Amino acid sequence: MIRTLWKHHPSRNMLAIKWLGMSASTLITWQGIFTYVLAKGHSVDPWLLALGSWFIPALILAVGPFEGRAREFSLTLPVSGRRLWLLHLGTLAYIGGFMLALSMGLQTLVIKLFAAASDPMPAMTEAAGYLDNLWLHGVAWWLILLAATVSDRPHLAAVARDRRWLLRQIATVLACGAGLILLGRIDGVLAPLAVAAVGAIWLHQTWRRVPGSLLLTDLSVSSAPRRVSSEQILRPLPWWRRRPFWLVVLLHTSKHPSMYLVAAPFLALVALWNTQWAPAQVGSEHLGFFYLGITAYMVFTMAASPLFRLAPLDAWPVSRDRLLACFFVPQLLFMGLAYAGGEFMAYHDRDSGSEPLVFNAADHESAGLRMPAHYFHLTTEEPAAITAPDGSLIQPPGDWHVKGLPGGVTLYKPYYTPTGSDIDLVAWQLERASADIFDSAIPAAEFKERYLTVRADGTVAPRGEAVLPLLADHPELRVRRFPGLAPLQVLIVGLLVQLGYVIYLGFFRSHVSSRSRKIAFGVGLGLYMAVHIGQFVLDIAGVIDIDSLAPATFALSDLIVSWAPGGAWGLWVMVILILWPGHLLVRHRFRRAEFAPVREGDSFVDVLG
Amino acid sequence: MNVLELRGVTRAYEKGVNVLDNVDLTVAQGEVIGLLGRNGAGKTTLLRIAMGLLEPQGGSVSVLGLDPRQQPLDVKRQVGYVSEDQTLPSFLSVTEAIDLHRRLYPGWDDALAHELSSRFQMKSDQKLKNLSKGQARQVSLLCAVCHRPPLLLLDEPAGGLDPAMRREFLETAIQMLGESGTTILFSSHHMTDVERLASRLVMIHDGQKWIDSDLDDVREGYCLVMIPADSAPDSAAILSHPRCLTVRRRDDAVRAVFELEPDEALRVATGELGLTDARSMPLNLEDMFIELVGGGRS
Repeated sequence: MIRTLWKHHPSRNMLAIKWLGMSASTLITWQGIFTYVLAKGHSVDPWLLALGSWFIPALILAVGPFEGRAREFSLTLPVSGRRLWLLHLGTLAYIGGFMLALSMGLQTLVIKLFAAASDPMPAMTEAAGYLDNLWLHGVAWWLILLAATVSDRPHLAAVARDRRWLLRQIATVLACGAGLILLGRIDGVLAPLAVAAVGAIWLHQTWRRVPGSLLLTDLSVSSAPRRVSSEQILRPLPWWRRRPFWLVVLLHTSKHPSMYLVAAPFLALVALWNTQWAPAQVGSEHLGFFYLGITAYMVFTMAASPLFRLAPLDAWPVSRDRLLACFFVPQLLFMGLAYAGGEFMAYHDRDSGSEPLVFNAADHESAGLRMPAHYFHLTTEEPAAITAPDGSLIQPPGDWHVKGLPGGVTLYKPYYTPTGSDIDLVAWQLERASADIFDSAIPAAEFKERYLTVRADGTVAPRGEAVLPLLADHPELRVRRFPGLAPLQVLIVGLLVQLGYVIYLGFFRSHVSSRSRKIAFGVGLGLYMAVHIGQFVLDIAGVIDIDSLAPATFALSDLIVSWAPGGAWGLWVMVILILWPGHLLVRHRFRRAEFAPVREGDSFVDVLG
Repeated sequence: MNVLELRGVTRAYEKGVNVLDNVDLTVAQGEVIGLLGRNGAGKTTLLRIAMGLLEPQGGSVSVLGLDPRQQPLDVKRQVGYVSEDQTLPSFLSVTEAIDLHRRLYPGWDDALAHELSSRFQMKSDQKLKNLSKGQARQVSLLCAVCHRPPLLLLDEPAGGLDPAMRREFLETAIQMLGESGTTILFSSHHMTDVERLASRLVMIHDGQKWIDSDLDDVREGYCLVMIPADSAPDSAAILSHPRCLTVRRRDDAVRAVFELEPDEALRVATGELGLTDARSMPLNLEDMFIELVGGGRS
């Protein structure tokens, strides 16, 4: 009996992938923010850095949908209230423990990895020193949080999620967090044991307050609703008081509308990560192309999950095309705005990227002209020889074989400066490189006068630092963008989403069970995630080499733009033309789909959506 | 022109199990039709097909001369639809829900909305999620009918409501609109509702239309013939009579429903079928429903 009640406990069944995913994603964001701050050279309290893994699952446990202690059905069974309350306590301990272990385990792994790096960040190393304390004190204060949560009106089968409850829960998390911050630096097991003992006593005292039978509600009554006239009810609303139709559709088809508040920052984050700005903040501006799988995952999730609850809207005189637009257009606009913001920042934020051109003297281990690999060019043959102004031929070496692209593709630097090059040749190549990297070229003469010098042994060396301060010296200079990247990203994400959506819509026929649809949804998400993770697995397995493939995508985008009639705009048109049949197919399938109402279950599979 | 026409409509959710099997139904303007049938008989599927929410695997559907799958918007603008599953967005207030529907339906009639809101005594502008089931259903009905649809489809619209609320709801929906010429097709498990409100009865069982008749004809044209079990050893012989709809054995008697008046049925039983000790009696709707769905099909 108890086993069955445990299996179908209302809180236990809420432990869905989305809560775990949200916990992990929030932690990654927290970690990302701190890493960014550290990378920018700011100081961060390492204790605060480590605490993220406690705060996030604590907040989710406190305000998540875990307030149900027993179902109405359970109350009718000959099972004591104390037993049901203990069952709820066990469920919360299980759910909370799982989330806490996942979160703190992930955080521990990340901190230890950073601390063990060849060039560790001091804050990470210091944070690693706090990990033992974090685990001991974290678990102890977790027990206090648990005791506080289950002690709220313990005679009730479910505590109402009203404002009072919400404030209480947030205050509890903050109080427990404050306790953890204040006492958590005390070494040894005594302090956490004392805190845990308080939690255990509190739980025991609460258990003694639990009556023999839990109640559905307490005796409180709410105030009567304000009476209004029918004229007031029937008056047309002014436009500013109307909810936009797309918002009504999205909220009505969402099981947990508040999830949009959580999902929106991730959508923005994913879009930003596809620009050249956000990855550049961590020194990997060419990595954006490898987040297309996760982008497709987000778009698919947002557009596919509302289909489960579309039936109530289906009788409205609203075309299926308009409904389909409600699922795609707002999120795509939102992502597009975030993407445009990222590109704007990339273009105007002159501090976001480092100076791209470097010239090392001959005695340096990386002698010669250096530049970010995504400005390299691609060839399937021997790189073409270059004729210098003095008529000599320069043969650039094929620097990098791109593993993962067919046809023996090689990345090479067309601005190669052989050892022993004279200052004219170096300045000429620097001028050409600057023309490729910036929106305007810096003349060779300026390089000669301002940035280069000839040593006594006749070799060319930088006049100051090897990193040439071109952006600093030329405020008008902007780093060139890659206009072919965005349309190619849209193409790949668009095709991935269209493929998934078309297949998934096939499950919306009345003879297909709701369970099958939810499994299909889960499998779809898994496949998108597999696309994302698969790239890195292939990299580790040596099938592809992301380090060379990533910059190659930039060069490839430039090549495609040069081939496309009309340049980047022509490429956009081509992408739209390629995606158009898929769009028509999605529309057709969406029009034909049958959205019969389904009974909402709460099994693990059911809560996937 | 018929308001609704279903010709040979077939629909299955599992292979070999037709929820609707070659069903024909024609509804003329102004008719009020009660749709009866057991759970799973196919009533909801029929109404959803008429609304264009489901596609039939066979046959054709015409609503006001339109194909609901080809011209879904034109159909939905002219049809009012209320079902137990057709919930309004719970986060909207009553005012917001009505305002939304006013924008969705071009022919919205504010006068009718006022009449209905007065009749339902709507006195608070709460969120729909805070309304009682009956109040929420009233708002649904108001939203579904205030564009004065020529056709109103009601799928168990009063399910779960208490008798007083059910009567108020149905009388408002069906009598008030039916009197103004709206064609209404409503499904219900409550025979009394059908008897009180419908002018025509359609009964569906096992995916097929068993009865499609004016209510008066149903009351007068069907009867129950009871034969002591020992006088009627062969149920199949009784069932083979073309006017016999069902036969079932219950306790010590064989009960057969005939599509005949009681006197005529008794003559058939004693004469053509040679059954002794048979007696016939008229059927009320509820008894007829139970006898029909509990027996075998002729």
